[in-house]
Amino acid sequence: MKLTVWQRLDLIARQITPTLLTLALVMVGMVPLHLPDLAPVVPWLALIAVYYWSVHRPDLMPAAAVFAVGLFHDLAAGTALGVGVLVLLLVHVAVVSQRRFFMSRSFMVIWFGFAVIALGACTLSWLLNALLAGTLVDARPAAFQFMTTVAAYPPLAWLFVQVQRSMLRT
Amino acid sequence: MKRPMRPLEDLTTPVRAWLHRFAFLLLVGGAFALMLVGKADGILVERARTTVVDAVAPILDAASRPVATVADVLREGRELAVLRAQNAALRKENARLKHWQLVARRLEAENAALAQLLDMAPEPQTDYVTGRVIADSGGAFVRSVLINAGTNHGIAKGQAALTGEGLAGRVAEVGRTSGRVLLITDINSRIPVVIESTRQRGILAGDNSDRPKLVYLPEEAEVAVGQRIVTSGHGGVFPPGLPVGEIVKAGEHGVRVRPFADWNRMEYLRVVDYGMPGILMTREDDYSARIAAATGAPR
Repeated sequence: MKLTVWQRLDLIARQITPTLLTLALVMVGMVPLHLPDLAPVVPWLALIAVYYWSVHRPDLMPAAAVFAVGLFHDLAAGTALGVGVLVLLLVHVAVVSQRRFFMSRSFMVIWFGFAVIALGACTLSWLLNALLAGTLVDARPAAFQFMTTVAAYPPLAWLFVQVQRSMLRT
Repeated sequence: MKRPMRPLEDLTTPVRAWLHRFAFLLLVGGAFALMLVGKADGILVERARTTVVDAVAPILDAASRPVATVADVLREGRELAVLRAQNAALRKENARLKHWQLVARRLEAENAALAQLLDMAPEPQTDYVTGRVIADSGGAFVRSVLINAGTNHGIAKGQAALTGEGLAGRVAEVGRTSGRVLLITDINSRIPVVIESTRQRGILAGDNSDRPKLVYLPEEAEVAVGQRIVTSGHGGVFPPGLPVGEIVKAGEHGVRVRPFADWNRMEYLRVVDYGMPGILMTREDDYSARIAAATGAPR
């Protein structure tokens, strides 16, 4: 089957939608909300996005895209370079390797799986940050971030489901 | 579970899996390499950061405006409820401040006269550049914000950033149209300060909590809760005497300082351009020097 230019463009657009959406979410997470004490515990939106797409459509969120998302986050947000990249990559591979477990499970199971993975991701990110800072970093913000991230999963997953249904039917 | 029939995919799956694994290992190696490079904190990393931030700054700027407006409206709504009480309090404070103004004017005149008597070198000219906070980055491990002002607006690395209440942080990276301000609560922040009343020096060291520590005080330092902390001006670019915070805890487990800056309503930051400390510069000299630096001409 030969594709016209427009069909090909359309296909590419569909292919990169999840990655672009994730990059946009990284920026959304950086917008100052001016709410008391929220900034340090703002949910880790990139983690949610990477997990969701790795579970449901890993073909649209390849490891290279995960790398790019992590790099963009680390550079733009000013966090320790490489930490976000590594944690997101490990989350991606953990999910993809357990894909059979996630296949056609109920939402609650997938959410629970996310909580487990997010716990690991936040712990690892805390450890790496402490290691790179050369001192013990306060773990409480990381713990709160873990909670807000798990809490933010359902609404974001709903958003992703809408995107998946409307744009990525193929 | 029923799998759809895809003969071609079944055939290429092992090869693809192997390729995937190899690519994945390469990417993980890349992540570790990035960590090493980032830890070394070279000029390259900084340039990459500023390039990325410069690129996304317009988007963040646009996105942060409506959010700031909504936050403002909400705050105004809350303040409307306490308007009368606030008005009365402000009237009282205004009367008190008028008195202070009189005192300050008298002291300023006296100070100028005495300085003239002593032939004291004048303080360098201080300029301010105001930037809007467009991103509140970092999450759990970094305390920094982005502002929409960069080298194009005359901001340079190392300058002090202030809120209306006091010192907020230091410009850590600066691009053309954006800058990153490392807040004084960040774990990497070290600010030379003095206790205002006793003039004893110390270093204000952030640890990502809301209450940075005051360290390296002299042993005989008299520390008490409520003492004001101001910048000392040692070590370069910060002007002395900028208000930083007040001591809220002084005990066995170290001295903690509550910054005056209100992190929750930090919408604009003023960046202080102090010029070069110790070098006499008139305004014109400063300007021509900056032009020369910008165009690369020898001074």
